[in-house]
Amino acid sequence: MIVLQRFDRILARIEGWLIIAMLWLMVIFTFFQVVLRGLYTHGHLPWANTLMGQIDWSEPLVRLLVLWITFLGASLLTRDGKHIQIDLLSSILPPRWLPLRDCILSVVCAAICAIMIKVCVDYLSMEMEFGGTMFLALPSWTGQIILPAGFALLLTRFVLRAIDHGIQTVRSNPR
Amino acid sequence: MIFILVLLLILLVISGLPLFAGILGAALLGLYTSGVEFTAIPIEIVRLANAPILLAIPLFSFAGYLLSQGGTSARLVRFSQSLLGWLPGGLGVVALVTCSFFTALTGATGITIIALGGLLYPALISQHYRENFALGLMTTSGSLGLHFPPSLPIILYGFVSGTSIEKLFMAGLIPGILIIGIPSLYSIYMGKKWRLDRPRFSAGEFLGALKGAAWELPIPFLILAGIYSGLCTATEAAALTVVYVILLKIMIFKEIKLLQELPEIMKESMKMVGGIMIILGSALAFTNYLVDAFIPMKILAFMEGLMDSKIGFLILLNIFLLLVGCMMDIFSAILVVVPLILPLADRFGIDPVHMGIIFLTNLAIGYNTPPVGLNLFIASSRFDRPVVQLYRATLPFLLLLLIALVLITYLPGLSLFLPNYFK
Repeated sequence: MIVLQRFDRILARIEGWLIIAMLWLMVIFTFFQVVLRGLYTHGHLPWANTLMGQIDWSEPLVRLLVLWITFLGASLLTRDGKHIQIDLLSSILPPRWLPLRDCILSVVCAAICAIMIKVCVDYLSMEMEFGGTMFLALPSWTGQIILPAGFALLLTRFVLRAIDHGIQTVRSNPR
Repeated sequence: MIFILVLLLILLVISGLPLFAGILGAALLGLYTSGVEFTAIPIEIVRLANAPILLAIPLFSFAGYLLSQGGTSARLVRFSQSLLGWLPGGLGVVALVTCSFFTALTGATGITIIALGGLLYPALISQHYRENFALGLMTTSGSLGLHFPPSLPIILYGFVSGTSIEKLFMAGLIPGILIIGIPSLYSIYMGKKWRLDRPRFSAGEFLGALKGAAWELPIPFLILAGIYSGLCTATEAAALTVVYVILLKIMIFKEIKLLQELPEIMKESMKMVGGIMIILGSALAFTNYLVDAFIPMKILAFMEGLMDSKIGFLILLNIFLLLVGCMMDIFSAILVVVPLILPLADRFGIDPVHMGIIFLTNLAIGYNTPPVGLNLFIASSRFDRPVVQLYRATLPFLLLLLIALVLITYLPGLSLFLPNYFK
């Protein structure tokens, strides 16, 4: 159990760093694009346009980061157990039943994520074969690798939660 | 077999299955029954990386989280207090205006009640407003500003429905003012009736407060002006806002430490973004299935048999959306329901821009609707009052908002005048 908790913490730290780095990239690149475009169209500075041409890969990169941040953020959100949900039961069920409910729900989520990993791997292998290239002549599947990886992260997190809630269920219902 | 699985899935979602998983499950089941490859799902999720406007969501969320830290809320309250506090029931008006402003800046995520409740609720009580009045006011204020830029629900609606976000921002202004104005009049009326103390307007205090709030107050106006003058797109405005707010909070007010606190805020805001966007990705996949299976057309055919008037449709729509609004949060409601409703609205000749405003208004009200409106629970834990008391406390405000809803729904001019005027 302690090993699992440690693994969970390290994973969360890496995800956190990635999110922070990616958000900074997003802010900085988008900001520079606006400034350069402004300098060119309103200041009529030709070098701004040249520079914009130099970093034309930054726009698709930043859009791709939206996809990456989505999965990393969702994984951390799973860790907190704060996904958007319709939560009627938590005010109706007696509190000692809640861990059991959460355990079952986590198992279902894990199963759906497992199916999605398989689906995304299939999709990725299709992309590897037929997909084109994206910015900087990178093959497009390299950007989309976050799909199976993201669902794998979510799967890990839901399994960890299922174990956690499973233990709580046993503890809160001693026989 | 499939029928049982569908039933099971619905049951799980109602018992609290994370919505993204529920929607993905529905998409998988749907594709399976219609014999389409499952890879249709990742193809749709990848679209998250293809729409420039979606970039605005993480950026505005980040800016909103930054603004919710530190003294922004106190500065905004002080400013509106000095501007409007002298009215009868003035503090109530102050609460409504500040909360709306704050909600627009930070997105409709329940942050408003948490950030401003601690400031405004005790102030209302100490000025002898009735407890239930103060509770109801603070609870409903939590979702009022979402008609104003840079509100995230508007951006999402624009993306999902393919409507111009610039037009939607314009269209929201008059309905947004209406939805704050009606409860404000009520507060003024009650303030007169209860003969509450009225502080006198002080030019000195007003100027001081204006100076204090001068950095943050113009943000929504600058965004709107930037977009309308054609200077920048909504996404670019988001990038500029983020950089501006970072500089403001770190260099000018020195409220956030660059190395210790900023990373944590980034993470927190991106968790929220992850939660919304993963539902968006799943909803794109699910909608794709629905359209392929002609589901919206089937609903349309069914509804056409049921009724044939625009008014009848609008009434049904309002009731339906209020129900949705009290069950779901606003983001998932937009993502799941808009694609289903839009063809209907089109058939009954309702402008998609007007439709968006009806949607937002309904969902904002749904947030306060018993038994499960989200605001009620947030307020219940924030102010430490039983939910049942909040049901009673919000009731008068709920009725007032319903009046606003009726006006907004049945007078399309309120929404469409500005965008048509500025075309």
